[in-house]
Amino acid sequence: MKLYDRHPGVPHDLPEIRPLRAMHSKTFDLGRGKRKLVQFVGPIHWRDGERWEDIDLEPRHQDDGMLRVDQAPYKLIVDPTTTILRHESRLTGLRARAGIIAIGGKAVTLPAPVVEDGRIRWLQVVDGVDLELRLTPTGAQWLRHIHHADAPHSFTWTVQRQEAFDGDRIVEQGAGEDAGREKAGVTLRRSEARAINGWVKWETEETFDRRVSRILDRKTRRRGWSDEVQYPVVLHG
Amino acid sequence: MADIIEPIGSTADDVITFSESNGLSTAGAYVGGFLVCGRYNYANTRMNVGLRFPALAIDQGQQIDLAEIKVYQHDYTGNGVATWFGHDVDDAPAWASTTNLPRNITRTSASASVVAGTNGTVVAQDVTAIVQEILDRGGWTSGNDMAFLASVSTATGTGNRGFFWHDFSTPGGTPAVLEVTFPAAGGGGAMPLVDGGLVN
Repeated sequence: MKLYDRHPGVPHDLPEIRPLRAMHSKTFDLGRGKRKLVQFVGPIHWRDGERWEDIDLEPRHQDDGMLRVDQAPYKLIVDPTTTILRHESRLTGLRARAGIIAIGGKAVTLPAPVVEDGRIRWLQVVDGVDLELRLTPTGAQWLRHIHHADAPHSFTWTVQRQEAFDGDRIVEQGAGEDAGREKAGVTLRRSEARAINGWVKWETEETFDRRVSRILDRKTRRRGWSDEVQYPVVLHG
Repeated sequence: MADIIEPIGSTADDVITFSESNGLSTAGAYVGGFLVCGRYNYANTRMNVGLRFPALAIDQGQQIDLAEIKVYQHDYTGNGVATWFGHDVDDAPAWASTTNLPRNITRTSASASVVAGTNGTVVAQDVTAIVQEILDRGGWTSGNDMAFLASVSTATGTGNRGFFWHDFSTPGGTPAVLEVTFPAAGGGGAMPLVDGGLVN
């Protein structure tokens, strides 16, 4: 579903003044010369030539088994059997590929993903670990859900990108020039990058090694744990 | 691992910030995907919300009938009381730790109480006077960015207190929007279409 259409609090039955579309907004004709501007904090449209089109982040199944997102500022194809994704920027035409190859130092066999709400989730990839590919208007983001303290905390990824991938950014969380150094509770070991036919390829192993804290939600009485005591993100009962 | 980000815009325009530090969190990721205006239990501190709407196509001095920020109220708990302010500048810069925190902005004279509605619904917050004050600035130009602060003033006690709203990047969520209604121009004639672009 289109990002705009998902929103229950904005006009859905008013005639849109299409020439007034912008990246973050739509404008509607209220009649008698009145109009309404609906402005978002983030993008709701992507540029297709001279036209602004609605962003739709719902992955669609292809005949070849792949999942595809193409109503966005980027095109993305995901192989649900490997997590390997192919990303192509509409701005630059440059491409990148990435995906997971091991968890806890072992190769993984992936279950069928759950596709919903602009995200692709592989549940219980190994005991206590889910993987999630979250699609946003500005890109795709991997999340690692670690459900209990005894679950594996290390993930190995393969990354490949075109050498001239300067218009876009591939951001390695906590890595960059600091690869190999412990930072923000994550240790990263990055292999030496190899350049082949205009592509750069490397592997990264990330290990989450923050102190684990057990927490209790006073309102719901749910118990959980967190790897960051000040800002607990994960609360699984 | 690699996050692939397109440089077309930011989803970092709705943020939370802490009352007693210079921290800034985008995407509400630290609070389960929510914007928090109030007191968050685990962080043990009060939080404010900043919203920045990019590239508003509204002319300087344009009179408006109504401006509403619509937020999806996931939860309202306890005794949180908060107030909306605008960033009293011609073109609101992006939020930034230390240098441009929502709580430190130059605030508009106009303000509005943050309204608590029903949990699980979109709640309209009337910010007409705030928007009009910014549009009336001599330096405002169509295409500039406009920013707002939801500042908590009361959130005592323990546990979660205040307003929990959806963030822009919450999957399947309902992000904040700014709706501006314009009056008819020139005695009811149609408003001219001033923006460029193709007529479809």
